Amino acid sequence: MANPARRTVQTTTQVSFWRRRWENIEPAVSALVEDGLLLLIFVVVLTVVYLALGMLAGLGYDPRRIEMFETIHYWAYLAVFGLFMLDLVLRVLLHTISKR
Amino acid sequence: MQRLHQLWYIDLEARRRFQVRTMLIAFAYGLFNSLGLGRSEKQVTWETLGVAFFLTVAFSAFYCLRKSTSTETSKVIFKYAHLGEVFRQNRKIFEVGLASLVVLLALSLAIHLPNSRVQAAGIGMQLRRALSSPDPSDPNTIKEITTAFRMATADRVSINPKLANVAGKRVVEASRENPDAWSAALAFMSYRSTLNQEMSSLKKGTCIKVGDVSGIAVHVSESVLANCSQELDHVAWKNVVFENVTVVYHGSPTVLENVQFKNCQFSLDYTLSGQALAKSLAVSNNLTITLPGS
Repeated sequence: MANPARRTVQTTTQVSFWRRRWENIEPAVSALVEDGLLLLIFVVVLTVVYLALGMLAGLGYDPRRIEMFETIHYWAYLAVFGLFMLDLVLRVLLHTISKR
Repeated sequence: MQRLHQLWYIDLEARRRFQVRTMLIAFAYGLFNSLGLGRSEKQVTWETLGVAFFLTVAFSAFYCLRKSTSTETSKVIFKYAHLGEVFRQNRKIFEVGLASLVVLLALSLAIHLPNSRVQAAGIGMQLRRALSSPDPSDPNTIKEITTAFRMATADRVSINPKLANVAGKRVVEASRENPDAWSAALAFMSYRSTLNQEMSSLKKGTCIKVGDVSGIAVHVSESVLANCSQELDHVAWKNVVFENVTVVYHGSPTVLENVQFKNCQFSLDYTLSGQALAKSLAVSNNLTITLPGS
């Protein structure tokens, strides 16, 4: 006959395993989440600027100036997005290596 | 490795300083090379990413080799021990981030509203950007122009006519020597035919199929052909309007006299006659042309 206490012990062990696993990666995930929030704010600001440029173009603003602003916007977007993606990859790599 | 881990996961203030500097330097590099020196955008993009990578590695190395300060302890103290602390300690960033997410969702919905001026301006900007490329036969430039015309056709967006004509002529010219530009030329023709809104009083006709013949075998005149697929080969068309038709042309002899295309899709083979037809379509929606076949 199965011991009813046995199942309870097993469940507790499993729960504590996942908890320990989460506690292990939680500081790293927290640092990534903070970066993610910052990236989100940057992306929204850049999107709003892009739409504003589109509206200016629609209202007949000088196309050559729009083109110049659009170029500036592109490089700002590339710098922000490139750096955050690079950081994400390097951080995950570093975390993986340091855990081994 | 410990110092590296400290920089990337614990000493977030130092990391943030490095991030801001790297971002500014990468931005300045891209801007100077693109606007100041007028270099190819594609090349400078890769270089800028390389600069960002190099600076990240250099800053990390600098941090690791720097003399340890007295404030550092041997015990690892994470800034955030729990995920919830990220939100508690950065309440403002979290709130702005959440609001940003809502704004992004709203904007993504607004962008997809049909016939909006913003959408037209966005496509215009995409075309302008492609036209500013120094190499008109660059595959990315061609892809960008094709996408812009297809998007404008699908969403019934009217692009700045001057800009559309310049881009259209550019791809039609480029397609004479570069077959890869042919899809862009066809996309332009489809877009152009959506601009034709003239009403016709001609009688409705049905699409025809001409068998395996040579020369001009059939004459069609004074009719409107709609909602079908029609081959132009071996037929003389006079005062005909094609409406919502997939126009197919394989390069055999055909005669078009006062022929109009409205909301048509074009599937023209890449032949000399096909190119001649494309060149005429790039100029006008009302065609009179004799194609001997090629």
